[in-house]
Amino acid sequence: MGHVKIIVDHDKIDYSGPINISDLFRMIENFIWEKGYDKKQEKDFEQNTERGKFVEWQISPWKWITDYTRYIIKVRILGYDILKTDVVADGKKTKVDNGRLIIVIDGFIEYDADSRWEQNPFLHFLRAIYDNFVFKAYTENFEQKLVHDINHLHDHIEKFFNMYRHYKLISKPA
Amino acid sequence: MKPEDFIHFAEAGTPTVYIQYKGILDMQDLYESIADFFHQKKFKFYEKQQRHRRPGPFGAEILHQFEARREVEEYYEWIVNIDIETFDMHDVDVVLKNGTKKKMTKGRIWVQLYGTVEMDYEKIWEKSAFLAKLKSFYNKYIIKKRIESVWWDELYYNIVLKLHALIKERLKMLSEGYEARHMHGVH
Repeated sequence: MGHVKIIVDHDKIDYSGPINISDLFRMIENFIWEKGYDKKQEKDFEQNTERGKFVEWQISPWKWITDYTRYIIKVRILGYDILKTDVVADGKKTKVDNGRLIIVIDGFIEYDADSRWEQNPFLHFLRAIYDNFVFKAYTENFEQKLVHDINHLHDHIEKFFNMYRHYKLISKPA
Repeated sequence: MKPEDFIHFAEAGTPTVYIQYKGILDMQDLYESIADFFHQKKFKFYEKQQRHRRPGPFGAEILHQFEARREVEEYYEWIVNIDIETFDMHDVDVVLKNGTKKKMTKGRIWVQLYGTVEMDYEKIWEKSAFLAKLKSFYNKYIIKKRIESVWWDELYYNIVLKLHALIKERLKMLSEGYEARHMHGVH
């Protein structure tokens, strides 16, 4: 494993109310797919408890930017006390899930994933010089693009929840 | 020195995917769905191990280990390993929507899936050091992209993740189905 740098640390959404959880998962997977990431499912846990369902779902999709750098986004969803409730949508009675969801998004950039520049301290030093000085403009550009992807995902989730959203500018890709 | 020590890309493994579920499930249906899935995908399906233990009063612990193999071409094959472990399992009577009664199982289940693309599964290119070097060169420089972006990709998305989605569907989990299920298969 190469040098993993945390770019987005615990971007969090906390939501309680009616929600179709299957659609939420699909929406996130679709977003990840459209952005060109490969899917990696880390956790898919579901437990039926007395107060409703407990769900833990975690994916960490990745995307190679160059043969040296890749993005990793970690999306973790925790759902508590999820029960089915009746709602009226477009004049029709349907069932949706109701409960509390906590979504945590992290973003990482992994440099030198093949560990080619970690074989001795001198190479390690060269890698640090390269990342921080020689290739600095590109490194910052990569970081900004990852932040933009995560902001975009965050915004998508908020839209999906139909949350009260302040007017805000989604970061522009560099 | 073993051939694996210097042969590049002798195999390419997918990440392990997990499912953990607690509730009521139909174990027979789950087993049949998995076997049927591999039958449809032209795999040979083996039951490697079945271990039954009764460590406590809450129910049995059963470990099922399955392996499915498909020789896709002469040079590579797909191997999918499935480990299913159940805890605190006991039978319960369930009344279905149509009013009929059915025996199902209640407890916890833990599923692990992972696949591997194995190159030169008949080990034809390992009979001598020269052939092994040739195989290593072939894997590293000639077909590397094909291994990484076609063979591995098809195994991961068309087999492992599809099976993962199928198991979730049979368990009627909230996360059943996955968005990318119709998007692959065009290479």
